[in-house]
Amino acid sequence: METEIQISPLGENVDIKTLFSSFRETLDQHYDRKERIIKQSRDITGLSKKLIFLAHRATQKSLNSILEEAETKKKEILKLFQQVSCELEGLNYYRYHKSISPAIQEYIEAISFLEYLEHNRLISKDSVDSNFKDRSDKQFLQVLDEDYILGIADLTGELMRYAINCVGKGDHDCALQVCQFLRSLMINYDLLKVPGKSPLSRKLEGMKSNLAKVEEACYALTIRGSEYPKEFYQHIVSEHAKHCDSMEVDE
Amino acid sequence: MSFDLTIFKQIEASMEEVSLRKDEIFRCVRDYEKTCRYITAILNRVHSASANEVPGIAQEALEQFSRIKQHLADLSKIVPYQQFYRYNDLWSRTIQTSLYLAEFAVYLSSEKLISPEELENLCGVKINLNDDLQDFHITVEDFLHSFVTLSNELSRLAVNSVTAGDYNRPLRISKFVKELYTGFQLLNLKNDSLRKRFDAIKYHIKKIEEVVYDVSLRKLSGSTNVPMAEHPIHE
Repeated sequence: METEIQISPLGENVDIKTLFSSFRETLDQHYDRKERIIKQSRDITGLSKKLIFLAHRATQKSLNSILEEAETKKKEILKLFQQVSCELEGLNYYRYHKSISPAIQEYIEAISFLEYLEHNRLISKDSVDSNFKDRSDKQFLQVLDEDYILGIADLTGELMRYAINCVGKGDHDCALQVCQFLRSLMINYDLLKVPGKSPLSRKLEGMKSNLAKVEEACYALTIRGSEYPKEFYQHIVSEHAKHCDSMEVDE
Repeated sequence: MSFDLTIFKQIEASMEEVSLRKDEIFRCVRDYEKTCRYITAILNRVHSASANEVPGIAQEALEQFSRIKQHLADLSKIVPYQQFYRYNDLWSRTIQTSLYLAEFAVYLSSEKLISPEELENLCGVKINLNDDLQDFHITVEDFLHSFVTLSNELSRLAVNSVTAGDYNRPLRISKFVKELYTGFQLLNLKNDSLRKRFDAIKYHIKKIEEVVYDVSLRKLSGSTNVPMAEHPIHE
């Protein structure tokens, strides 16, 4: 870049045009880079949302095939991450972190949900990190603790939806399991010292209400479950579902 | 169901570390601001000073910049390598103020725009002109923000120099601020805070123009013996 600014002792002329032209060049580079990152970040967020929808479609029977499909989608997303990672090297990581962090969080939300469906457990930070390693085992993108924490906070929303779905299908055990999982997750979050205006403090509210919804659903299950044996209740629900289906077909 | 608590412990520890570092930066910035206020107080005297007192006041202010240098050196020691942008919001306003103070003082002593090199020498920190610095630096945005503050202060000085009996200064200020404004017009600004502040420069120019108009209308410029009156008086 040719930006010649003469070394001038105090009082010598500064050419404003030259100076501001060099400013323009630097600023344009910065704005363009930021825009590229935001665009990529948006694409990644969109794909991660699709991945979450895919995971919600999983049933006990279809789980394996869905996990396979998810694996291809994950690769696709990670390719985008790898493309954008060159813009985020060195100093620029924190400079543009705000632009890329929604994408990182959404992706963590997706893979942590898949991890729960497959293994019934919380994805570890290490295994999140290992997603962002290239073939030569080099970390191409750093994941901050706060992004991990925020991504997992969003996971509670997905798990709430999943649990309510399970209730709809009459799968009590699954709903109760989610409830337990969310509770132990919540305990860890409660132990964290959260600054008042941070994004995490806003998410904590959401987490609490997610847990409350699941707890209420579990309560309803238990209280009705006490009226009939569990199998009987499941039978009623599935019969009712069949009945509804056949009504729709009739129409 | 229970799970590995260590990760949460680690995260808590790293959050604590960041918040301690922020506290340290806050303390540093507080001292830094104090020095800025002190220099501001010195420079504020030019608004009621006669033309021949001005260079002395500017010199006095410039001498204080060794303290600014120290504050910036302290700050740069706190910030870990390559994490500049994680924390720079915490001091960016203060840096902008001190840059403006340097520009104002240099303007008062030479009536010229400070060069990036002079500024780097005064502050002891590099400006990220080519977007290639990895260490602590002055951002181009902060540099530009400080120019807007400068133009605001000069519009105030244009008014007050008339009151102090210096009728030629507004004309020179007008030329200078207009030139600065043409510089800004070369930039492709986005709709951000810099853009909003840039829009304010035209109001500063308008204010200066009104002073120039008042002075010219009454044929006052040129009537005091100011050594730097090199601009022709419009009849």
